[in-house]
Amino acid sequence: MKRILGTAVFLALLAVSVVAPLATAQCVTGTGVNVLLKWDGNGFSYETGAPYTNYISPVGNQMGAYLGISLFCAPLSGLDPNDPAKEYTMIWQDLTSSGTVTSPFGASGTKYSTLYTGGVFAIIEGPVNARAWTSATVPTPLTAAPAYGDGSMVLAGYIDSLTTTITRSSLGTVNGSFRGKYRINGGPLASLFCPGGATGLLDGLWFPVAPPAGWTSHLNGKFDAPDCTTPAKTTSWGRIKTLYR
Amino acid sequence: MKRSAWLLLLAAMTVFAVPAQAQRDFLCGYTGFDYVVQEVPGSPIPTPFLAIGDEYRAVGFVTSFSTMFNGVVGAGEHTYALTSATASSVSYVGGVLEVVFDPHARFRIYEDAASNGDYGTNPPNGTAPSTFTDGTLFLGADVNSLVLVYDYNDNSGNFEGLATLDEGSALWVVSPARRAGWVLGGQAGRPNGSIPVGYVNQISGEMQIPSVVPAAHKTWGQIKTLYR
Repeated sequence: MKRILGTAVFLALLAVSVVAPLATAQCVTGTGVNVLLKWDGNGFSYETGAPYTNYISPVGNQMGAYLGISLFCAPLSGLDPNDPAKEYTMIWQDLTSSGTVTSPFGASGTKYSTLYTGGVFAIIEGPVNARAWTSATVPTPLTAAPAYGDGSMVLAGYIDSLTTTITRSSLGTVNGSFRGKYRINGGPLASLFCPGGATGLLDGLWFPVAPPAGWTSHLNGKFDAPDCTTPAKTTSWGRIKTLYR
Repeated sequence: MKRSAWLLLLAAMTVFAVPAQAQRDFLCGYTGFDYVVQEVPGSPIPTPFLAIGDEYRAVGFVTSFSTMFNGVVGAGEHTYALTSATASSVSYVGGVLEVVFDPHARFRIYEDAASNGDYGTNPPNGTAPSTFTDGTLFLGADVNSLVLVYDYNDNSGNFEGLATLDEGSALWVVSPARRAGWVLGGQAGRPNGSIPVGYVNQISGEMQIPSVVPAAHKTWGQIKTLYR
């Protein structure tokens, strides 16, 4: 019986496993900052309020997202996103829609841009129960929420603004991306970051075509580490002396 | 005669009744950077960053696989390379770049015990793409209908193509009936401080089969306009 149980546990672990990313290789620093964290196939957005249809988000709708983190980099590289005993998820909520602006795109396409503001995010460390979900398997938001949200918050902050851009190209292909700014302001791991709530970039893929039931898109993206460099500018000794007179 | 007509009608109904929906599935997620090998060498990253005849390339790491590869994915790093994507049509209107590529671009995933993937700067260079294409060819795909759009007004964009899996040590895992129809998607955005010098955009993408294949009705006139 014990052996059967052991085999079942092993198979269960196998069923939720993903390739362990090589953090050192992927956590590249480009011309400025490094990637802080990333998620892949496990990321979905939803909206509450008026119906979201044909890529149009009505003004005042609230957007949120549930994500399964697949990569951590400095200063969060101590966290293992593939830890067999726990998982790291992220929740976004309270992103208020300013309404979708539709405009011509390229030769004969269409662009749907939506600005969301005033959101918050939290990274949760919890039991392994949401890690394996992809577009093919994720349940509806109401069913999925408890699995993404159980555990304890390790990092939190604001998503001050986030813009989603969905394009229907002149050839008819539909795809999208998102880009925004976040700010860290709480959680036990906040002390790893520069004080004062430095902002960082978040961006990625926003795939709006035929999302799973109850969701508005599948998103796949990253947070860059906040830029903690102190702003500086060139000046003359004369100007510096003037400051002290 | 009547019977033939009914048979014809039935055959036609069968053809047109094929659902536009396919079963949703996820193959892999990846991250990396793209770069351009210009047909006519010019400034390092011109605006727009692609011109007719240029080859669009990307290298990076596979960050997750479908559970169908459990037990097949080995240790070490898993890298990918997108090659042979030659721009055949470029439209740049109002800061919006739309590029259509020649058929038969190639997307390959490698499994490598060396764990040596290194982007370096100003690709192609001593480590890229070479450290992303060493090891064992794990999975490869023929990519067609590849389209890239990039909006310089928003500094965001995406690309999309239809991939048919056709090579690699792990090809056997995917049944022949499931090897076609994978949507190769991605994201391309800058300015972005995590992009190494000489690369154009950071990519966060995946191969998936959405439940509906996106399509739109176009007139021949609209299609011809793209190529003028």
